[in-house]
Amino acid sequence: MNAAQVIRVGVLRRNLLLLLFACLATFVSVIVLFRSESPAVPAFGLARPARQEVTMALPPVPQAPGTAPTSSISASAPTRLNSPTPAPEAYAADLGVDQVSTTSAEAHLMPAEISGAADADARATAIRQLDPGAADTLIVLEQTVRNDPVARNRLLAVNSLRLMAIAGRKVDQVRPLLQAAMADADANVATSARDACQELNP
Amino acid sequence: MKRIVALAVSAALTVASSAMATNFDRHHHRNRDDFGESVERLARLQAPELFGTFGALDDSSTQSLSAVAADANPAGLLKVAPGLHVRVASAAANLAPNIDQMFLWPNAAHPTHIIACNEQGSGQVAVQRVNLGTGAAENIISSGMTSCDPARLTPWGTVVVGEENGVNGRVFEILDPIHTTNVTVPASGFGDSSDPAHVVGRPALGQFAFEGIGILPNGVVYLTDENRPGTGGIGNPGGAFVKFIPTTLWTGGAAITSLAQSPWATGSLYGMRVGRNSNNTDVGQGNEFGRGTWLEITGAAPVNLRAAAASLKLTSFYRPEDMSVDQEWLADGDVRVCGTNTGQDIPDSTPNGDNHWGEVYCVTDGTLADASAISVTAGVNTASVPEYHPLIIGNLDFAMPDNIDIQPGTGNFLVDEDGEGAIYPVPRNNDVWSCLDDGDDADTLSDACIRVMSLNDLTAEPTGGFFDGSGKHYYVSIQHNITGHGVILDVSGWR
Repeated sequence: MNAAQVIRVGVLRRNLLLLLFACLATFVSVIVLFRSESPAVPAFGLARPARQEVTMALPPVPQAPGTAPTSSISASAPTRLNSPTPAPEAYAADLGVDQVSTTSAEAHLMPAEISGAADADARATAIRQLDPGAADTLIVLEQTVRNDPVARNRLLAVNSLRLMAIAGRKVDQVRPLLQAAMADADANVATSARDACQELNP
Repeated sequence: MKRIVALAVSAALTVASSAMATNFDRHHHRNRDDFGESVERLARLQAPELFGTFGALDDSSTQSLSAVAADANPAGLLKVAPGLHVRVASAAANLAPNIDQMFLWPNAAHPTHIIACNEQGSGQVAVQRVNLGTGAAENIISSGMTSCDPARLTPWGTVVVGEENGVNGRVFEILDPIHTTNVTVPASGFGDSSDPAHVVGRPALGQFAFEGIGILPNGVVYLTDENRPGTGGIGNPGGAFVKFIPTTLWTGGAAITSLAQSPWATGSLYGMRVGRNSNNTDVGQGNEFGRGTWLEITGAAPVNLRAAAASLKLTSFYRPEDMSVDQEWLADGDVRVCGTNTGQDIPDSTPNGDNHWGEVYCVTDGTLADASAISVTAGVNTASVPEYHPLIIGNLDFAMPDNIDIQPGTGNFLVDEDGEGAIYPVPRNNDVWSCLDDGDDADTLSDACIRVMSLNDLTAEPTGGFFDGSGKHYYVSIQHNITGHGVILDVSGWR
């Protein structure tokens, strides 16, 4: 072979290699493409921030107290106080005004300022404004610490219980609620309750 | 053959790359490492030069200190970017729990006190002074004001505070705040305070939910109404943007010695309405950005500014909040004030989630002389032309901007977030962001933002954040925090 023929064969070999690579790449691409297809997600869907997907998850569920909540509150307390932890769907519903059914609102049987507050922020405001000396304050706080789906509200309730105990109000009833809150699914709530218990029992 | 191979290779690579892109991020339909993220990364990498920190906080804190832990170490309520340090300016037991806007007294260069508004009911303390040396808090106005929010030092040496209280909101002026103690004001109206020589109402500024106050050196002041669209009825406007021009402008000199000498005793009010096309008629919904006019607001003081805004068709925004005067522009003789509109951040997993995360805007108003002049023709003050543009558009991580201050030296915008992260299924804390101004690039938007602080208290929000004169100390209130009392922190370490 002369020099020209050598070059031609070399080019042919290179082209064959490139073709082989192209075929392989196409094959892999098709596999990847089909594996990544998902009928539930439109390929050209709107861009959404990742955190938004998180919001669709259900809120943390506060754990029911380990011991039977032989409620520290009087026998006239709402029955829901002793009920098991509500289903996660109930928590999702509690997050929105429009989602809370009349039935669930009535079942709360809480003071007007709370029972009318399906909005999480309104409940928080109401907790902040509770009169520690009012008869139904403990009921509201127990309801919140056991059932409110928003950890921030349970944090507020734990702190209000702590302040009640520090002030010497219903300490015997507050203490078991704080102990129960130590088992809350949310680490912040559990830690706050633990710190409060330690503060009350140095 | 060569062409076939080339075509095959390019086709294969195209399919491969598109397949990979699809796999990386179906929603965005682009490579995960997109250009915007590269810009964000670059901003974080250049934090020392751009933001004066050694880096940024990648995420909001999810921690929430117990009251016991927060009381033991109030500085722990705030997580800061590398390079920054936190010191407790005050965590006094009697420091009001809802401290909002505040400033340094007697000036930002050599302060002895912080003067602060407390955003509670009329039965609670409204205005306090905090000794920077000891942290001790004392009451200036002990009751009568509802939701004291804006607080500023005037160029003539007095203090102004305002109520964020719907159409009942008032502005009060205080003389000698260090020696004025436990004054009470009427719960409504402009009757005398218990110490009228030191605390008076200012009906000339009208009434609405005062929040943003941007005072120019001559006493001209820009005001915003923290009003949510739809308040009082579907379709009702949000908060308006208003300007007050004193009858007698302040020309400098020693501080006044009597409240009767204040430029804010009398003056005239003007409302911003965006739209100048066809003789200023392209106004209303759909026209919120760009140039506008100042419409004269008439009526006997105190004018109901919210009603005036509705009747004059002033441009409205979603809950305008705090405001800051751009001192660099002012040094050049021009007026630019920048503020926040909170929008509404509620999880979109609920029916009432707006996904409207608010914005930071700037309004320019010509030169200082133009902005302070009055030349009314057919109800329009034509002396200056207001121009509104967004600077920062909120997002899920940077939601409901509330307080804002421009850092001396850098010109960066420090923005306190008042979002609803705490009620999201994965709760997160509110943050403080530092944002660059718009530079010489084509758009009018901030070039980058980084998260520089994050609370460690899901029950709280950062409020009233502001810098001292050097730009090296950022004071921020941890409002309605878990301790039950106020906490003001001093964040230093800015390069």
